[in-house]
Amino acid sequence: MIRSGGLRLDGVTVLLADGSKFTRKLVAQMLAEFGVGTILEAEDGETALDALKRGPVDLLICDTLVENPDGITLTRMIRHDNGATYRSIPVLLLAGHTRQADVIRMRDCGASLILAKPVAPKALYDRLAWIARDPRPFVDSAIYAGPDRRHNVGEPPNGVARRQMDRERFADQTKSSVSHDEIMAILRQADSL
Amino acid sequence: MRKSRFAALATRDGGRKRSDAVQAAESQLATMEGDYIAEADRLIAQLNVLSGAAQPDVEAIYRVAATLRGLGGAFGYVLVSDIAGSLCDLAERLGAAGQVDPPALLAHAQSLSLLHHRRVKGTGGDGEAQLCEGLARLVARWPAATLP
Repeated sequence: MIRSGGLRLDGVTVLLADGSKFTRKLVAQMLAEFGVGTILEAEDGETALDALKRGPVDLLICDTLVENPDGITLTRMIRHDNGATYRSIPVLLLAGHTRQADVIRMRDCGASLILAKPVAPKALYDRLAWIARDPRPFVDSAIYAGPDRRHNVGEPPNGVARRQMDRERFADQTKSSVSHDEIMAILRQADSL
Repeated sequence: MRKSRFAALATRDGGRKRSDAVQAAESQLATMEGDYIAEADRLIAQLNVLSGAAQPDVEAIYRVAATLRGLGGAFGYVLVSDIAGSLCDLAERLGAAGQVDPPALLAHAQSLSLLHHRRVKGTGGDGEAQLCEGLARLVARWPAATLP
């Protein structure tokens, strides 16, 4: 239960793993405005794992496409690292695009929540709030380790509605700025082959 | 059930109001739009070079397009995100098929250049919709990747 109407994030350490320096800066700025006390950054999975080992880290926010290893593999490694202090920390995966080949891996890697990019402040804040009140038990079995996937904790934040709201927020520019000739010039060369 | 340290800290008394925290983050984001423009310049230039290669590296294209998809919409450039997502779909399909389709890849990269340089925000008008439909047709020429 979040009291006093909002998250209190001073004293919280968040590790942000993303291969894009600009994306890290973007998300880090949002977290700073939310009041997060310490924000650590990692450009790849190996650096993220090193930071977790040095600890303490309270929350990992990780892009699925971070390299060496990727974010899905990294989450799975964390969940199966028996005895590690960071094994059960909340993990929020960010996905710029999800390949079909990764859908099942993402479901089974043990992430607390997945957020589709682009990341908007409202969507990020609501995911953090959801994770903060997430009562799911940690499951530890041979085939899966992570928050219980079957436990009903109510509706997760409505990403679809939020995304639609984000689109509507910027729907003021509805006049075409590309001409028919420009469109045809781009598409004709591809269609002609 | 034991709370995580994150949950224990985040749910203490004295938290900042959601609306204040979100508004502060949105204001901060607005100050970064110039940085986004520069970053999108760089990523779209990369996509044009990669797509124009004799033998395009679809994995590299996928990764750059996924990064761009994750940025545009955060600043209101929804169409840039949408077309970058379409390019991800195309690269995924080509990768699964072990094929390349330089004209379709280049059409996406050129569309991104056009919309980015015009600074088209939101979903655009009829012209933009027509462009997206055309790009979707190019993607549909290749079979959708399937679940493993």
